[in-house]
Amino acid sequence: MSWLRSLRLKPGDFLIAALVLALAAAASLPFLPGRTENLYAEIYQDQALIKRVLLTDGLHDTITIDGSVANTIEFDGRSVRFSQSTCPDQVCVRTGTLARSGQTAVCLPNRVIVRLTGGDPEIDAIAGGAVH
Amino acid sequence: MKKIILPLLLLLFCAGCGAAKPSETAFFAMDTYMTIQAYGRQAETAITKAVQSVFALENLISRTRENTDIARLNAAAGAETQLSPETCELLSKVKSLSVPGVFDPTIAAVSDLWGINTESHRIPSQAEIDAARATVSADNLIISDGSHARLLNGAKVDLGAVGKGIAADRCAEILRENGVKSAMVVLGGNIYALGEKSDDSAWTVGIADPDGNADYIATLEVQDTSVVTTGDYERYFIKNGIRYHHVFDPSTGAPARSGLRSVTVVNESSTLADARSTTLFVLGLKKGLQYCADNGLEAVFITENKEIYITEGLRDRFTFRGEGVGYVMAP
Repeated sequence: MSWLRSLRLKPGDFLIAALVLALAAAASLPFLPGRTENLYAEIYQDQALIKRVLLTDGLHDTITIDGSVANTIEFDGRSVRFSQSTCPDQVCVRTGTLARSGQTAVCLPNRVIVRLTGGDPEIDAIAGGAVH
Repeated sequence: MKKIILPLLLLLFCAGCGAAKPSETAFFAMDTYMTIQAYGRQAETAITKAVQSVFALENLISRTRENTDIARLNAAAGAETQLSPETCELLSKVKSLSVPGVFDPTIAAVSDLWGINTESHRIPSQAEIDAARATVSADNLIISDGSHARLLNGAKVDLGAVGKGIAADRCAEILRENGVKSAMVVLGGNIYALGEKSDDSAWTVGIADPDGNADYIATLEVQDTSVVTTGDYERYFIKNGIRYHHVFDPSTGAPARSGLRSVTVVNESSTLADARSTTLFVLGLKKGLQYCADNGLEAVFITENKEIYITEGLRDRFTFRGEGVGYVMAP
């Protein structure tokens, strides 16, 4: 540690260093993964993010997405689901309610994806999940 | 002033240490939806190039689209067909992965017959099955040179069992070439975990519950590798209580009845993982485990009895999470 001594640091220098580290830690907080509790429903159609909804208690809303078929998406508190679809296979409706980060429901005919993000996802991806 | 500069630089440097937000996209291709999440300054450009490569690949190997290389080869009724060098290379690769009577890229006549995942799905007669099965053999696929191929004895090619694997390998390659060191590529449940997560920890990949009662029934810690699952719950129809799924056994010309619900293969090559997850599913548990031992493969098997078997090499990175939905770990 002789190089430290050769810098001839004064108590004030340590104070500045501590301050800098504290500031840096504070500045990086918003970027730490998994920190945010907020859960969002992201709705994509054809690769484009068309809506991002904060899922929170008290939320009640539905939207309709038109395309080759029509999907009705229902938001209820911290959950979301395809409540109706005019497509023949109804895979999106049968997927049921999404309430955890990372869950996905898809309507292939309409090229619509509903994905939950934020929160604190336990895992990064699911092998063999949601293939339709 | 000098006294201030060093701490300021330090401040800027440290503030940059926080994990950045990834660039991500979701898109539809190969009859499924796909997502790519990548970290790094060039992530956005790299993702766009990766998506384009998936679309380009689909335009070569789809057999349902008109005028792709594979559609033309299948329609040529045995005549020599000019193909792009890329398609020929892929065909050679896939042919080399074939396992007689178990995994075969010329399975198309059989899959067409059953029509799984189409509106015209049905249970064909035994005579129809026998006729279709007779066309299935990788030997019927002749790759004459780097840009020509033909099919003998009425065979038709279906690259469905490896298409997403090939696509995932391409995405990983393109992301790497463009300076991305950390990315998660999910092509319809077919995964490539590139590098490590932005916080230098391993990626956690779940293995889907075949019954769909839970999101996943186990997790794997992985880095720089692909994880691919083949399961009977992905594409199927049910008639009289029997599930007819999309994983065909070339030796019977019918959906494989091997006692398995799914097989997950972990391998650096997604093409190999994709091909072998199908191979192992058709082989069944006992022969499948033996195949893994003989070929140095790592895999997770889920049986119809809700038992989970894993190969030795996965023990340290595997966590069982299926207690709540009735699964058990085999000893």
